[in-house]
Amino acid sequence: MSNLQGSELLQPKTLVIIFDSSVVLQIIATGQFRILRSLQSDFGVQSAIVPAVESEVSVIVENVPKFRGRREQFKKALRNRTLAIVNRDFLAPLVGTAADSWIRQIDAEGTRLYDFVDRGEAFTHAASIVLNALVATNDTTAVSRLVRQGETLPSPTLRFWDLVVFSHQVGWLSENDCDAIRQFLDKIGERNHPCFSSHSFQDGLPHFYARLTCSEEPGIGAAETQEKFDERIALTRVNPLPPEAPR
Amino acid sequence: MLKQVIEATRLSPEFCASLLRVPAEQFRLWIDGKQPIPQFVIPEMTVVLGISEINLLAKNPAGHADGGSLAPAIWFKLRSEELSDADREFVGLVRRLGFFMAQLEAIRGTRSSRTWRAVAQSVLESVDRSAPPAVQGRDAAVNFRAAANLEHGKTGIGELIRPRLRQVGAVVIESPVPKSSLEGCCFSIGREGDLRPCVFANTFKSTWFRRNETLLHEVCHAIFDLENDPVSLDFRERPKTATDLSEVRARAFAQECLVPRTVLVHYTNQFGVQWQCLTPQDTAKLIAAIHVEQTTLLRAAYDGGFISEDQRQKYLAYDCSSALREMSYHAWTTREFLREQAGESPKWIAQNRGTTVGTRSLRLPAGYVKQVIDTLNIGEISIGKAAELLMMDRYTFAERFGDLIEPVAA
Repeated sequence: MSNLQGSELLQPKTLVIIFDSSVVLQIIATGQFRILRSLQSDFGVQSAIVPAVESEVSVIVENVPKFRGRREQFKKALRNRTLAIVNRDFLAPLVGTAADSWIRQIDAEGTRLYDFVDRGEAFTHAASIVLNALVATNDTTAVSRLVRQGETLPSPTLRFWDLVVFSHQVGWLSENDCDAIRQFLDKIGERNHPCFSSHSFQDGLPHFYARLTCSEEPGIGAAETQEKFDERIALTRVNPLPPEAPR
Repeated sequence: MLKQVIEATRLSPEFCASLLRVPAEQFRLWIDGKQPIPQFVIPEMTVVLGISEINLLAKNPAGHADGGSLAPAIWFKLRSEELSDADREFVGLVRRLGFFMAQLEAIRGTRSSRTWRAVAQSVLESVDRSAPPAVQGRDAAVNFRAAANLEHGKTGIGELIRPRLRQVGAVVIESPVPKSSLEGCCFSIGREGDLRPCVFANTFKSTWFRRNETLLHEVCHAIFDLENDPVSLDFRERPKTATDLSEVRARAFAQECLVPRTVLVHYTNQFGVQWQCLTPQDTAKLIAAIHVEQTTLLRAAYDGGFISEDQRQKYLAYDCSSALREMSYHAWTTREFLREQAGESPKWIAQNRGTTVGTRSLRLPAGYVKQVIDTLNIGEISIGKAAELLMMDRYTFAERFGDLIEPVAA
């Protein structure tokens, strides 16, 4: 079990979400990097990946047919820091000169977790534990495995559909947009959340417990928790919208 | 140091990149020293290359221009001109598999490297190292048959070799390497302090009967030679009369493991074999029962005093192939086997065990694949980890094994 208690070690001023490849690839496939950009600009949420995930995703977008041709989109997101890489440059503004020490801690934790979950997952969860940052992953088997062995993972664990539903709640995506995303993922053989597989977005939404919500908007999705690890975090806009502002 | 090590191994940077699952251009940056090697890749890199982390990260390596002095021990011999890129890349692939096998064992709480060390030690202690090499090989075989639980009455042990070797901690790989003259090899795999042997037999243009001998030949090298020589290589066109001590010993070991005199006596009695007037039909029957190829069977019969040299030469000329195909499914081609056995074993055993890195493919051991799926289904590893252990991306994994994953794991 980890001795690190992330919350005691670091309380970054910026909320950071660290993405696993499973979510990054669905973002790439559906072309939804704009969600991450809006999260950054409107809610001050920085999206990031660990170097292991950067490598994994790069290899997949080159080799897996359904992702081919989307490499540039991914590179662009890295270049403009829509998706930051957890490295010294990323950590320096958060922890100052201790960045190297944080990197070493993440590396040590990642190497330890690598015995149980895959390389990308291991270093993603390691960064999440050390930095006390949320993780976005669709692979609940990795989360279950780590929780079962006593790892203290920051919660909630977000899924791709939490980002989509959040985007719908705050008005970035319409119901039709969300359903188109659902249909597209289905078409390319990507797993949708059970609420949205074989159900339209409209039909599935009442059964989906949104783990990421906006405190300034009416509630969305199921009111009660539906599955293991269901917990909710509510975000508040950095600069609240003026009352008359169009959405 | 990475640049010098990669050059010394004669592996291409592109292949190394795909072996380590990183983009080629990123690997280039590490080689050129333009970016530090990130920690996430170091555990795999050190095991595959056989180099310590300290040496890998050293900035000022000492060595000659040809890089030979920098080649990790395992790769030094693999630099040989006799070997092709295919051979070297195949070894890289298997060493990566060894890394994952060790991980799976750690997850499952087993340490078969210890079992192997105990078995090898007991065999070594029973052998007089000053005795002639063939005697050493035979004595070692007698002890190995007992230690590895290969004494299966007095019958052929071909069907027991692979599971028993795996039980005692050896990694057994049989896979086609078409552009290679390599028939078999063995080398250590795993993490330092947790090493175990990998014995490999090339299935390209080979028979199951032949590979039984090849695998046991390599086992002998693993027992006697791996400590001082990190890799043992055997080529298809090896001389008929070996002069090298370790080769003579390994040949005697394999023969004695497969065809000890007691087995020949048993079948002589059971089949009523008339050795003086052996027919092609009789020969095929003996091959099918004893699980060795014709050459080995007749060499053992000659060594056991059942036949003369003239008779051995005469019987060697027999064409037993069609009779053998009637008697043993091990003599069937892969296509024939799959056609006949379809539906009797899960689809993945026949079709879905291949993994590819760059242009190289490897057929994963069925038992290993099953262990990974079982470990996933009891929640000990994540789906991503299962895919990683089988050296495939999660999409290929889901496509191939999705039906076998129980809902709790999915």
